[in-house]
Amino acid sequence: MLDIESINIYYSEVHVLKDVSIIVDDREFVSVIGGNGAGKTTLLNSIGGFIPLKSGKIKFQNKEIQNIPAHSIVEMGLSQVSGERSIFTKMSVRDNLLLGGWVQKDTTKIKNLLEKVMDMFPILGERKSQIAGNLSGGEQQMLAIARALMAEPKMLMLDEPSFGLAPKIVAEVFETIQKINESGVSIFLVEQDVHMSLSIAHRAYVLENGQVVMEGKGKELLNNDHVRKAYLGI
Amino acid sequence: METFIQLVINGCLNGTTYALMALGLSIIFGTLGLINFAHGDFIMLAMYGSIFISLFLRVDPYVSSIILVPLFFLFGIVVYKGLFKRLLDAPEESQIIATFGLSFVFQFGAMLAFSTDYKSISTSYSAEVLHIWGQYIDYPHIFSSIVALILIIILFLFLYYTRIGRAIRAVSEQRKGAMMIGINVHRIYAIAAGVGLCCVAVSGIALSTYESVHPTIGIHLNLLCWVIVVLGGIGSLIGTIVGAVVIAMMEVMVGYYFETTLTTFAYFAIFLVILMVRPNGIFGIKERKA
Repeated sequence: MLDIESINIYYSEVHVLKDVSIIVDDREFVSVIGGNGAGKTTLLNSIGGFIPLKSGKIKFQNKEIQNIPAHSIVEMGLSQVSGERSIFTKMSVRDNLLLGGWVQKDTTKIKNLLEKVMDMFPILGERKSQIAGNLSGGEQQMLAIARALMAEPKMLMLDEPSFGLAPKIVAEVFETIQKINESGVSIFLVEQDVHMSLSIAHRAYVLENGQVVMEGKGKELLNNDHVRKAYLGI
Repeated sequence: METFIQLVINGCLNGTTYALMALGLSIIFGTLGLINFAHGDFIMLAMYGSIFISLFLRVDPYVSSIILVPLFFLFGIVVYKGLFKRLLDAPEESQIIATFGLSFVFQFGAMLAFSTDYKSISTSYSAEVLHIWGQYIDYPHIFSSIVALILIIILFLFLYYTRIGRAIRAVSEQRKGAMMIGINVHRIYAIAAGVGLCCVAVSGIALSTYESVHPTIGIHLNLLCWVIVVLGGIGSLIGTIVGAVVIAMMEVMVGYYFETTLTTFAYFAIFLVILMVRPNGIFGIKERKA
């Protein structure tokens, strides 16, 4: 589904991503772990069409997307939930969700999707006329995910959905992501919460200083000595 | 007391037209984040457009809107693609200098094309006055105010209850967030510029029914619109409307009780006082920088 072939990215002189290659299969849940400044967010932004590549290719469903503008990538079925959440805080929850369905052409479909998403996230249904900026951090994260689902993506990329949330809420968010994956959407997750993301991902990549240093099944990496020492502090 | 009521009425009538004028600026500034110092000159062009179309076709200036409004919508898209788009990520100084340049092009273009004479138009109701409850209100002001009010309502319905309107609000709040849900932001920016100039077209038409136009009238109108937008609070459309009424009220009051030449001085004075108390404008929210 997603095929990243040895991409390189520079911020002026700084080499941020070095020959990174990653594959995400149909319906797969793949996660990328790594510390601060490892290049995780840069990776997502480059796939989403926000950062130009120096070299390499990104293919989505066998089509090269590295030169395609961000909005067209969403139309192709690849959606993103960014780390800054980037919901529209001055607008109502309902308006946020309706905007999420921007790429849908059919209005009855948007209505159906809106109901489906509100069933999935009952709290958003309850607060549909509230201003999004007044929601709690966890609710805002749910809204960001729900908004992305309104586009009916084939694959969803998430940047640190656990950021700034209480442990109980983090568990809820991950449970939701898992459910989305089970419904048939491929997941590409970038996370600092290593334990959580490795225990639910099918496969994972370890990104260090802009390079993929390790790759394997989620559970396997969880038992890997290097991973345990560097990321779990065990 | 009776004169006072008369002045309040005049202030409100002027205020609605000012509001429409300033909303055009507010939308372009709020959505594109672009400082446009040629706004007044767009209004000047709309006034000429109104006068020439209605003289040429022998119709009422308001009828000319059938031609002028779509024309200005396209004008907005062309100006966006030709100039505004290149200025989006430019520093503010560049935006100011570039749009000042555009303003000069429009002014001197108008001087070449229409000469520096004052031009005005007379309508069937130009000299008509409504006498009601002891007050005298002239019809051109009544009509312009009604038309402006209708357009403001349409504008709000458009922004809050349509798909494109929602997208305009979304893009103005979060450019990246909008791109992430598949919105082509350049298309929305172009439409916003077009909508802004539709407001300009209608306010230019309304203004042309009671004011004469000359190539440099834009300098004054530009200043007026900026004062209104900043006073009301940047990014707040309601604020823009309130700001417009405050300024219009100041103008008529000072003009009557003191001296007409003092009006500009007066609204700048009020402008400074309000900004000292509320630095982000009457309806402005404190900007949070990430």
